[in-house]
Amino acid sequence: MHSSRTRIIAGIAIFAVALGATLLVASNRGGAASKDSSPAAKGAGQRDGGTPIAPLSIGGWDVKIGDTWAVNVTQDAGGITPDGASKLVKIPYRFEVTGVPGPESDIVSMHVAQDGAEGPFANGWNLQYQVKGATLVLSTVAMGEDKALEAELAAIVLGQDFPYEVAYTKRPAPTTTYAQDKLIARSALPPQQALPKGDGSNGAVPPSGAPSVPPSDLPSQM
Amino acid sequence: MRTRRLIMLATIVLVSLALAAPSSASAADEYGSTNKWPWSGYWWPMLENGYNLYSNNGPMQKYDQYLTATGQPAGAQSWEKTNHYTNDKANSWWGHCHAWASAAILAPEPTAVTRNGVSFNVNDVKGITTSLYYEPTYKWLSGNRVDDANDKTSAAYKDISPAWMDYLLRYYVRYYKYPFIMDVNADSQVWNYPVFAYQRSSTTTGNVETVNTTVWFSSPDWNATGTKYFSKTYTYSLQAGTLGTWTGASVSDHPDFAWIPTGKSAGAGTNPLITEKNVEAITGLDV
Repeated sequence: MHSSRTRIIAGIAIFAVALGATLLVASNRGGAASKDSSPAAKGAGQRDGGTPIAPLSIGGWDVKIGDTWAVNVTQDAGGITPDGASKLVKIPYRFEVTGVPGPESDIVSMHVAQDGAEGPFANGWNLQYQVKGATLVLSTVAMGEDKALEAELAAIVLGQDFPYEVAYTKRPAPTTTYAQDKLIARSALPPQQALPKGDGSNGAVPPSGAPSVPPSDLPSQM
Repeated sequence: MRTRRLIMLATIVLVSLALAAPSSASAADEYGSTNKWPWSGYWWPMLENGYNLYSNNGPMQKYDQYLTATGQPAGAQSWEKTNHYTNDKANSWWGHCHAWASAAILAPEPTAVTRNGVSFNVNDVKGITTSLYYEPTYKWLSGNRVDDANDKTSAAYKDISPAWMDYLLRYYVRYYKYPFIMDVNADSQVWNYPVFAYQRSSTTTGNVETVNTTVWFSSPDWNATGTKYFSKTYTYSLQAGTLGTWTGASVSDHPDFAWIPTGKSAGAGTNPLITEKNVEAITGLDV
């Protein structure tokens, strides 16, 4: 039989050991500075205790969380209008770095918002770039907070060609057309030659895995 | 004894035939529908037919009356007549189907209303909302547009590929439950309609899946409220490693391309008199 004093001492000791173990695990935890690609992840590029991570240097650009720039993309509405008359308009796509590589990651995360976007597109896109030497190579794209798709698939199912492989020689200017050709050209990712992979192997939710609606939810046959 | 032998022989033959036949399996019907069905509106042709955005007593004239009533400079009707007009009957199919389809997906459905003494019927409010989306921002999904009326053989004519139409239906309509737009004409005419539901059935023989898919599109109807629709049935075969093959009538009657609107832009092709602020004031909706 223990006295209450002994029980209190034992409780304090167990608490101290648990606290110490927790702190030890936390201090040893590595990985990317921010794998969360949402804008809310901004500022996550610090290790415990507030030690800033050394910036990633690509070419002459020290990539930091919070770096922003806009790419003005020229869009031609003539592609979809019946008359096909060329109607060019510049649409800004606003990029923001939301995550930089940590000791166990080579991923740079970015959030992209399109001016004038509505509906589900108003939440923008979350991109992950893999650092390969002096270049960034697009690996995944997610619409808003949806499941990320491999870049090759995203180029088609999301209809979006973001800069695919970019060798930055300097920090992107605040407003630029630097990557415009890659945003609108499909040369890097030829969608017409690509094949859909519905098995989920490329990051897509297998469409066949999504539930059917009941037949009664369909319009009546005409 | 002889009867038993015959029965046994017949059984052996039947089992052998069953085993020798190529594998064939029927897939269950699959259904997809978006959460919101895009509303019907009119497609507003450029060729004068009495049902134009620029028609007298039409949407633009009433919009001009509203501008005048609220102390703003008018001119929407004349701008429309100058810039979205054709007198070439060969272009009778030119119009605002792309703008209506975009508005039907992105904007809430407007209803008839009277503002500042101007009565806007359902066609009028849908007309001015459609006009806002004349130059939508959009993402190209798949397919190459055909512009040559004589083209019946090119790769552009043969696409959109069945594999991609199939995938986009499953991805957007079934998984995301979100509509997208397809030009339903394989040839040079462009008729954009929102896709919001499908029913798919197939049989698989060996490694070839023979598919029959009915797709529902919102239709551009006059005086429409809610979603009026039509359907088209496509047949095609899918095989791993290929983009699929249209079969039957779908060889010449399949969608040309697919895209999805993401917002609106104020490009030079959009009637500059039609503003988001005014359309919202008239419709009472966040467009």
